[in-house]
Amino acid sequence: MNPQVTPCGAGLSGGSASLRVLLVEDDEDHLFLIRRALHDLAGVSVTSEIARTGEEAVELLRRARFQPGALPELVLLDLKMPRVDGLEVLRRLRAEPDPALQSLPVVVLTSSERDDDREQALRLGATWFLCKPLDGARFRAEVQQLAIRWAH
Amino acid sequence: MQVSARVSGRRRFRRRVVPARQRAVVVVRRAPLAACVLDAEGRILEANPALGELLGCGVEHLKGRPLASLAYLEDVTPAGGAVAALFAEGEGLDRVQLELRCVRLDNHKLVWGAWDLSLLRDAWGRPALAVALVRDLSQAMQAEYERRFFEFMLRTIGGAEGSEAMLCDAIKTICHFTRCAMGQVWVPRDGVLRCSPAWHAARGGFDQLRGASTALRYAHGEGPPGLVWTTGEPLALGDPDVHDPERFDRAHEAYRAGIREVLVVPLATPSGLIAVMELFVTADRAGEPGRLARISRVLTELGPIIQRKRAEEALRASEERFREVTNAALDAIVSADGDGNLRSWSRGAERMFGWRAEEVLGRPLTVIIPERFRRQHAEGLARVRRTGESKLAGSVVELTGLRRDGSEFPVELSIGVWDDPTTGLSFAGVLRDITERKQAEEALAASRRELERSNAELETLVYSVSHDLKSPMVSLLGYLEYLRLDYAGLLGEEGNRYLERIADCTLYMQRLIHDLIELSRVGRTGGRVEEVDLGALVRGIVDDLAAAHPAVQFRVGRLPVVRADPLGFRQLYTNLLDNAVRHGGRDDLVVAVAATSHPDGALELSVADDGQGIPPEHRERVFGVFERLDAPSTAAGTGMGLAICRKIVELLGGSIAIHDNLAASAPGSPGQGTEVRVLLPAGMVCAWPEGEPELPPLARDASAAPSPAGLFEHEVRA
Repeated sequence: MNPQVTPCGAGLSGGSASLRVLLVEDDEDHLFLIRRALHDLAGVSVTSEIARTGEEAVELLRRARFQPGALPELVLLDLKMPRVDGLEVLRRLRAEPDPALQSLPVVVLTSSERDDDREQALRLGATWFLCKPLDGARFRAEVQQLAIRWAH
Repeated sequence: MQVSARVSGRRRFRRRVVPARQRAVVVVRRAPLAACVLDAEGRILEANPALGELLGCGVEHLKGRPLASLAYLEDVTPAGGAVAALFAEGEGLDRVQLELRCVRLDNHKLVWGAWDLSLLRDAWGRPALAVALVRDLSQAMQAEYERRFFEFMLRTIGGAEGSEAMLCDAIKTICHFTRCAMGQVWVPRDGVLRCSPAWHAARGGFDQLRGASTALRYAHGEGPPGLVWTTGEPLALGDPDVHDPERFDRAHEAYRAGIREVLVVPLATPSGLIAVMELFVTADRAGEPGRLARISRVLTELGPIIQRKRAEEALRASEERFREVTNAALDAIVSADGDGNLRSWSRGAERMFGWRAEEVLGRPLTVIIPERFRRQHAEGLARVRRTGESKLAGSVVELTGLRRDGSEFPVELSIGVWDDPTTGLSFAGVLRDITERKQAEEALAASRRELERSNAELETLVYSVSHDLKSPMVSLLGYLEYLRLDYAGLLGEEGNRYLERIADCTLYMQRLIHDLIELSRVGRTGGRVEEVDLGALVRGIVDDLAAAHPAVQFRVGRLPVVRADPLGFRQLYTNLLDNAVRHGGRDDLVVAVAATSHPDGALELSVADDGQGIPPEHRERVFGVFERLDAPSTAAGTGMGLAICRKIVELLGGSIAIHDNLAASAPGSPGQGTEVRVLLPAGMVCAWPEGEPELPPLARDASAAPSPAGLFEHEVRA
């Protein structure tokens, strides 16, 4: 289970800032659309890694903390996944002894309008949440905000 | 007639004495009693004034009359016989005593006398004359006779089966003792007198008279019986009235039967007349003095007795009917005394418990109570005895019954308690076997649980399917977006139009999925119950809507704070207001939100608009899932809004309905208007905002339509 490191293209504005993102998403189409949105961000160069299951995500993060520069600066985590779902990933991550993993910014992605899913995610230590659908200006604007906040 | 005779053992020997006649006259004249001298033919030769007084005539009138001619008809023969016995040749008697009834010559009254006849012989020892001494027995005899009459009457009717038989016996006895030939009874029924089946004839020959009578009906005052019915006074018809058809309607039949006298006597109680007795006397017995009075006296005694008998019969008949009814009933009907011992036990009880009446009557009713409840029963019984009141009386309770075979079954018991003047504290209970009802109730509850379970399953399924549909939807919308961004220039005008259509349809599908999820979620979430300020909630929704629909005027009235799930109410108001705006048919709608509390505590919420309205025939249909009145269009709603509203309201135990908005449909208004009214059960409202009058809903009061400024708490205007 090798983490797939895919360098994203530099931002249109010349790559003044960079952001390492881990995308945890089981749906290939959603994955594509999120990466497209990240790719299109203005002024931020995004490098994304991908985990397609919850287990894979947790494993990847545990290993990444021993390699300098491998730990992502932001995790985009889909809540709805088979077996280990997003909430479970959050729970395990926040239970890790390493403070770097405990405080890692995690933005959950949810297609549910239900407040209680979001609330539960926030209670478990999610940093923020984004609502699917993934189309349109609104989604892109929100991703842009996030990217600017955590990029360096 | 009692006739006693004493035979003189020896002949008087001859002596020279005063002639017999002379002696006899002296005896008679000096006698302290009524007395007379009779010759061998029984003619009165000499009488004293006392006898004249007794028989109602002067002494001179008596002289020369045969004794038999003074006697009452029936006593003529015994009178003649007594005289004959004295003067008989050979073995004649010296003394004869007999009771003899005579008829007074002046008023025809009977004179009851004890006649003592003694023979006087002539010098040769031959019977010459008789001296009669008469002791007046009239008073004593009459009393004795009447006593026997009453005694016999009471004894006879005392053994009678029913009131009819009693009347029959009474008529017979009266006829016998007063020497009437025929008697019958007229009883009032349905406002007329008619013949009772009870009648008596001393001999044959009265069939015609009886037949004519039974065919007759008398109203008050009609004919002799009707007259007596009205006056309450006895009546006698004698010769010649009784043979005059003008005076007596059955004169012809009476004549044929040899009737000379008709006596009509009321049979009454202090509380009123119960019958009229009609007695017929033949010519040979007619004119007996005092007869009418005697019969009247007897009937005065008889009335209450007959009345009592009738009451007994009515009681017995109603008891019989009660027994029939209780026996016919499927329910068990039982009664018990104050000690809890069974006093009655219906057929239904026999069937239900398996005990026959004779087996359980007199036994404690614990025989039908399972062992474990008996102590409780005994305590209850003791309490009722102490207080005279039963906790169970007047209500229906469910208990457990015990059959003879030891099996138990559920029963429903209704019980009555009363204090019987004769038997003391009494209980009556109606028990119904509710085994089948219990089973049906359980089956119903089971199928309801099953239905709820399958409904919940279905909702879960809808929920998860909808969620699974969302994921491809998200992808679809995302790719559409990038297709438009990246390739709009290549697709051309036609291609871009197709793209728009795909986008519209996809968005519509997204709304459908969203609403489906909402619908399935209403029943699934437990819902936190908290205090919800409906005013604040509605104002929030209205602010959002007002931004999207700038021309619509919203009026929010006074709304209460309720205890409920805030999500449910948010969804309710969102859907209702959204519907009003979406389906109003115009941009410049007026939408009013109001609430009133009913006297019984129920809360009525209303959302009214002055839009195009909903025809009455469609008002039920709009609450169905996916029901829309306009043709499906991607621009309009999904048709699930009201279905969701109904579900929310029904989960709260309320109801929702669509009405005309009367204010909006007033002349001059642009539309017919729709008012959705939600009625919620009592107990939801926590508080109303203070300081403001409770507004009548806009829709109910036409005068409220052009509302004065400031009346509404919150007005949003474009």
